[in-house]
Amino acid sequence: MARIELDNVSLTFQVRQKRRVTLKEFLVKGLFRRSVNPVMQIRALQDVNLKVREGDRLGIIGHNGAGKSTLLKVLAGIYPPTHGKRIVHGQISSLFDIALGFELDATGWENIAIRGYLQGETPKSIEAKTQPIAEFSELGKFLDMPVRYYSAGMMVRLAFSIATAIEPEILLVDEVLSVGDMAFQEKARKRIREMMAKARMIVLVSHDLDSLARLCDRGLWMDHGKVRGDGPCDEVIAAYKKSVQGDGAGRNGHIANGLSANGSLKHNSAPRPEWQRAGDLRASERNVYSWFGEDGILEEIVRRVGAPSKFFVEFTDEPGQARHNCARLAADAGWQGLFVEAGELELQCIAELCKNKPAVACVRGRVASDNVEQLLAAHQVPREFDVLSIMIAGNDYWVWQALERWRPRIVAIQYNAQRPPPQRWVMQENASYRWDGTDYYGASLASLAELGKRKGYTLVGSDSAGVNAYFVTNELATPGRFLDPAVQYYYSPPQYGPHLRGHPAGTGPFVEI
Amino acid sequence: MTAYLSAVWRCRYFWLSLVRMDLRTRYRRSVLGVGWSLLHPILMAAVLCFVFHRMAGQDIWHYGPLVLAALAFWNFFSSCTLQGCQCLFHGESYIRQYPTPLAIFPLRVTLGTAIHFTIALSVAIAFGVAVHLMGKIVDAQGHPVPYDWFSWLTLIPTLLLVVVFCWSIAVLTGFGNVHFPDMQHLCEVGLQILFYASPILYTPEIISDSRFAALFNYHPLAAIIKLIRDPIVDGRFPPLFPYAVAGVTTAVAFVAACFALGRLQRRLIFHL
Repeated sequence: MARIELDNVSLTFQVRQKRRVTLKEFLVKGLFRRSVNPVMQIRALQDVNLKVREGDRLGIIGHNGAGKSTLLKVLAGIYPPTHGKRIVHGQISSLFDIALGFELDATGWENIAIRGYLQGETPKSIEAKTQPIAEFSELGKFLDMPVRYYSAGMMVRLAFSIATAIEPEILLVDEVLSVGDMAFQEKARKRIREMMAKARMIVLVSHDLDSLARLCDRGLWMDHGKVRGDGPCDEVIAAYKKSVQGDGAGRNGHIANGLSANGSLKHNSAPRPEWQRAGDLRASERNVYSWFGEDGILEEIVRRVGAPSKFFVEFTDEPGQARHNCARLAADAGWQGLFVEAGELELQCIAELCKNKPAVACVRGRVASDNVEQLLAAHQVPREFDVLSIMIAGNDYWVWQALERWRPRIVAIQYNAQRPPPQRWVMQENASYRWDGTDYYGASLASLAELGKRKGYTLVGSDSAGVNAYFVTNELATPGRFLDPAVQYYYSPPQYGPHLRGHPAGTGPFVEI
Repeated sequence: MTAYLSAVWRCRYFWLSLVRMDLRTRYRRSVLGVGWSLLHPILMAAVLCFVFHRMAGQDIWHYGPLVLAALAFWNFFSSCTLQGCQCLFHGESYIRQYPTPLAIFPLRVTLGTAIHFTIALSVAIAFGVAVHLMGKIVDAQGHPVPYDWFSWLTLIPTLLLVVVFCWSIAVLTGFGNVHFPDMQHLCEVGLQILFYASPILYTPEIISDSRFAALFNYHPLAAIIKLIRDPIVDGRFPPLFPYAVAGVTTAVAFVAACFALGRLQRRLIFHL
């Protein structure tokens, strides 16, 4: 009989600012100086008591960082509790982080077998399931290719198809519904509903309160690592909604993804009410394809200043991060434009998204100050276009500075929030630089604002995570359209990187301009 | 312990398929495929024989199998040490999704490299046998030295010992590297020193300083190499003392590996 019990379970993460201890630090620890890499304690779960019986359909809700995903991982046996007891009877299948764990050099078929074995299949049992998995994934001939060549969407499709090909006793699901394109998503939802009908026990984490109310009969409300409510799903959701509205959060109709305690990045907290009153762009943050609310902010700027040519250009070069500020303009708003992406896989992702958009060009290339104008000329970019997005985690400042003959009306540019105003800090130009995961990249907000001023641009907004700054040409920044405060106002401390405290410290030459 | 072993056994298809895949990707699109594993020790031995024959006047017929056998083991040991450093990181994405017994990731490395070890060892054996059949090894009076074919049976326990030893080392370097990022560099340097400090290109007998030579009796790698060399090169049963040294070393490494698994397995996820 399936059963889950948590008895006074607490989980404390011990996180080091710089992730790992070096041998040097281990040896000199306490001898000569205080640790430069202190341990921080994050209490992800506190005294959680939970009994889930056979037949229960439990939905977990709560704010970002409330400990929902962590709780799920404790249930799955991935995180060991720091205190308390976890008792689980029954075979667990979990649907989270499913996009992870592929052998990149193996073909799709081989990966089906490997992942199947990991889920407890045997060669015999997986043989019968391989064909249905292949069909469900709709990957066709791609399955003969190494997974290395798949786009991110294709990987998730394959992962989902494998993960859901089993008949689980206990099913743990963490918001996996956003897999692939719209058609596949519908299929995925149906598959999950089927699995839920078969599973003897379900625990589901979601921000989508409506679907939770439909799928679950019992609700668990997590708040700062503690259980704040446990009972019939409708009642718990009602109490949660009431509290959210009382806080003034979630006012724009959706409660977005957020920080999970293990530091994996989901983003966006609900906007603060004073931003909404002031017309601050941070109140417009919304994510469809973007991570830090860029989709919503760009939409709002375009609403305020218009977009006569509906043409964008975006430069991206962030190893391992396939995010594009103009993806929504390209895929959903019917704009023309150009993506210049340095990474191969990242390029595949955006190309996949824009595959039916002939007006959008996706090219692979690295932008630097000496080739930016040639690049725009080669792709016949009009001299006055609407949106330029620079997100190359390196020479961003220099690329924008070098762009003289073209004059985009709106500029979204990545800034380095780990150099707060009034600090002037610009990474020294280095054409061969590729971001190394540290905080050595780009330019501080104060330096960018200064550059903007010289080029005839006004800083009009930023996002709440300290990632992008938004500029429009001086003519467009008419009084009343945007706020006009000091640079300091637009600065937001970093809410990205490991544990959302920015990237680890890096060093390199820089200039103060 | 039993529960842990049965968990490892339960996911045997998983790690076996990882080993199989590692082999396949290693030789994907290469012309010779596994032939490279065969060719590598042969070429290496050919070069070494040539150099040492010319420079030090070594007898090729005796030196060839000797260095081949030692190199086969050395390559196995050093690959397990270095690949072991990365094995838990490579398994990270699986570890984050399923509670798997962590012992399987060092096992993946050990089994994968064990296959190359077997191939290289077969080459050494073939060479040793050929040399003896040709009667090239002679004693001081010019009579061929007797060769006991049954001594090969000792290779079975020896290889078992070697696999357990190398797995334990892979576990230790794997956990070590997760906790100290410098581990791999330290291992690289250490291996370089160890290579010359172990009787791989030479035999302990050539060392003239008797005190120094006596140290080699207690050198764990020297003991293992002797256990491999004696049956293959000279066709004789190894003495008991190297068994004792190798056995104790392996036992210590194995206990340390089990201890590391027991102590650190649960909390490893927080350090990845």
